[in-house]
Amino acid sequence: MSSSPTATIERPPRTLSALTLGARLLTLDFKRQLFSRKALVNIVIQLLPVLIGLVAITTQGLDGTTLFRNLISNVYLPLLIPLTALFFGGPTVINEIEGRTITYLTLRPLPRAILYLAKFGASLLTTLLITVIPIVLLAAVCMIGASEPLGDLLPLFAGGIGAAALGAIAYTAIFAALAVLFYATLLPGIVYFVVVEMVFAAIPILELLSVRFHMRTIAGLQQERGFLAGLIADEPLAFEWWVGVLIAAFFAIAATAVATVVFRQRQFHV
Amino acid sequence: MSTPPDKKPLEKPPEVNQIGDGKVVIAARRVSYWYGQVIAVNDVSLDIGEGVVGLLGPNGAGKSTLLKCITGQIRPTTGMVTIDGRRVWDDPTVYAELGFVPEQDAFYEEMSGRDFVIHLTRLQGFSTADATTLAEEAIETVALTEQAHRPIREYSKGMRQRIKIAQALAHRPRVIFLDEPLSGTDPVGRRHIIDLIRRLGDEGRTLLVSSHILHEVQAMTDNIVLINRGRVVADGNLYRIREMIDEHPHRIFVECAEPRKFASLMTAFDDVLRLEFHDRGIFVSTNDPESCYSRIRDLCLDNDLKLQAMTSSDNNLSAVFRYLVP
Repeated sequence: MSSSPTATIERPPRTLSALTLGARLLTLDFKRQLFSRKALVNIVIQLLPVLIGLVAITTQGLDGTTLFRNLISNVYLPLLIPLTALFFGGPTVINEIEGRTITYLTLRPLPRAILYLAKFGASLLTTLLITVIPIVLLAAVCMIGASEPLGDLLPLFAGGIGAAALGAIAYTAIFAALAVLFYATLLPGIVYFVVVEMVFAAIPILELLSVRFHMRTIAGLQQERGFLAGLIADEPLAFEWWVGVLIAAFFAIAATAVATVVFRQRQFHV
Repeated sequence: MSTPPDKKPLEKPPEVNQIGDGKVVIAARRVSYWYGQVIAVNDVSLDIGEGVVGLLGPNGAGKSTLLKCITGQIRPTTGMVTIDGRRVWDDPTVYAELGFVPEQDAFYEEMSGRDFVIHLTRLQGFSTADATTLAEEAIETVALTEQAHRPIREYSKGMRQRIKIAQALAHRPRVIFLDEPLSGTDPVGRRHIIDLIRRLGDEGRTLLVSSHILHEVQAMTDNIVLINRGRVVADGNLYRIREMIDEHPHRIFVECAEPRKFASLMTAFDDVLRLEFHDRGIFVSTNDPESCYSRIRDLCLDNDLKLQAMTSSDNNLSAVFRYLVP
């Protein structure tokens, strides 16, 4: 057997720290997601209530405080935030698996747990940006038409924005975890949303399992009860806003931990 | 890449031959992989050294699954794989020295070829500036510089194949896996890729190239591993395997103007073992294919028998496996 020279390969210096590579993947993926068509569509959807609010305040003279409360309670928290979270959380890594590009990522010197967390981080940042900025704009628009002084409005706006942000984080984590567990982008998230966020959220006690309940707690909108809840219980469950923050954060952390562990052991037959 | 002091290469059982030159780079020991009740890789042990090694087998033989086990994309059901003494599964540091050209046609379609390679090279730990330089060099190596700015979705099959190779080479890995790298390439592109693979092998890198086409692999290397139904059926130097093949009769199909006259002429030669008539021609079984090919041409020419076609199904891998696997 002849022997060939052992390769001595020169290359520029590099950093193989897992955290550095993870941060790099997060940044690259965040840019890709932010400039995607999907992001543009979601931004337009999220801005629609802001435009409607602006028109309503300037032409109809509606009260800004009531408008903000109604839009947050009936449009953003129950519908638009989970919608965007579903579109960005569900595909976090499943798109790479379905598109068979996951091979390129799993063959980089990057631990799989970091790979998942980086991809999730990118989806989370995109969801947050797309959902929270329109609500901040909505608050600004509603401020124009509000009858109360600014000092009185701030807790309402802060609660609405905080609830939206925590809700976006929890929903994105849950949808991403469900996608990893069930190997599908949207369907497990939709089933979860219908069962937990629509049915459970309308039933006393079981409503504690829904993110929606805790978003309402954070936003100070607990009195907004569902129809079934009204039939079963006389008084709605009510907690301090920080309890809602803690529980929503727990949902997000638990979902991310489960998804990371599952993804780490996943074998990709692509 | 040196072997870390705490990690030793796998023990080498006496029955495992080393394929390739120099020291053992890739070692697989009793690797099996099951998809449910179906075994895709069956008790494979290999030692692969430096240079180019062909992993040959018909479609569905288990080549891609074996490559996935070796590269740590899937964990073998039993057995283990090391690269330079490091266990591959769950040790991402191995990938700093490893390049992989997947078989699947999968890309971030919206990216340009250049951005695709830079993006993946940055994830090998290089700064943006260095990743850009390395990516551009790799793209030049696969002769795609002029098309590098175009979105990948506009690439032809051959260009897509070449950009996949560029991403595998950009970080200058010492071990490179190529799964069917010539699929979809035109003859010029094919020649270019074959030359590139040979050159990388000559530099002392380890390249494991999977293919189901014998002559493609033959053009790259003499060192091959033959795999069928998940098992290694032969390994080593191609000539050794050729010798094994040549011990078996070789069938040549001849289409000519007067097959009966041609058959009577052929019966005079000792190496001709059998003649079978067919609708359109005649099958000649011989144990000396090299002489037989030239003799058929000469006989037809000398006896004015118009030779319409001379083919041998035995040149394809399926025939090789028919010989080697009972």
